Amino acid sequence: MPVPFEALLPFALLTVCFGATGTLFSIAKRATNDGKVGYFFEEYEENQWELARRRNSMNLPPRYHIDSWETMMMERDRRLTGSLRGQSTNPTAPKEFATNSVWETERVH
Amino acid sequence: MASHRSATFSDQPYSDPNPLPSSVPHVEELGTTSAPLKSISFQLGSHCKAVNDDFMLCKAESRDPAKCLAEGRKVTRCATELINKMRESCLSEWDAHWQCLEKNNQHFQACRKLEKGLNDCAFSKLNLSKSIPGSPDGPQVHEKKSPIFTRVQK
Repeated sequence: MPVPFEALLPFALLTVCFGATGTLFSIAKRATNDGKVGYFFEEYEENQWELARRRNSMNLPPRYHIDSWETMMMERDRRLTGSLRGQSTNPTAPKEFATNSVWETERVH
Repeated sequence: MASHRSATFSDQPYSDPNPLPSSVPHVEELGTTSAPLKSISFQLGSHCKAVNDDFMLCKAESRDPAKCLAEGRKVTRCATELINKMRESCLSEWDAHWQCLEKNNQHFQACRKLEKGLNDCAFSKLNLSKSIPGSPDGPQVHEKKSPIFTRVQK
């Protein structure tokens, strides 16, 4: 008896949809910056939206279960290397590190 | 309330460009980021125990940043000294371990093999061993042959 392929079409459609989503998603992840930071410490001249767009996702798995300690350390990494996931083993910090800490402020007058 | 004022937030983050006053002695800040620091955290803890304890006790007395600057400078100098020693003697093992940590959400349990290499190198060259304070009797969790909690199955 021949296989009733019409009945299996929805399954094939679902598989293709999932496959396409997954492929496009991984292409998008790979297409974002490879972990190279093209600039250092110019971030405060830029609009926050530009900054968020340029935040590079390297070819590393994302961090999860990030608590406030990890957030603080990742912010420190950003001040040291320019990227939230940038790492280095330099014993001394760049000169800008002394003054580039961000203070959450609100204008009162 | 009648005295309520609405919030005004700036779209630019605020950072103070003024350097520290010259009355504060200058110390080169540590440039090492989170993954390498986590990797040698226990070696740092045993090498710099005295100055770290001083700083923590000072902070326990008062949260004012100005009160603990001297102890903080000592901590920075001790950590810088250990980082320099690690770089000259155990750099490849250290690099391998912290890169493994970065790929695994900085979980120690995912990188035990490389951690063993790093601990052996640190013990032989710098006489620093890793021991977790408050561990129960028996082998430490990083030395167990078949630990209960390991990395997620890939």
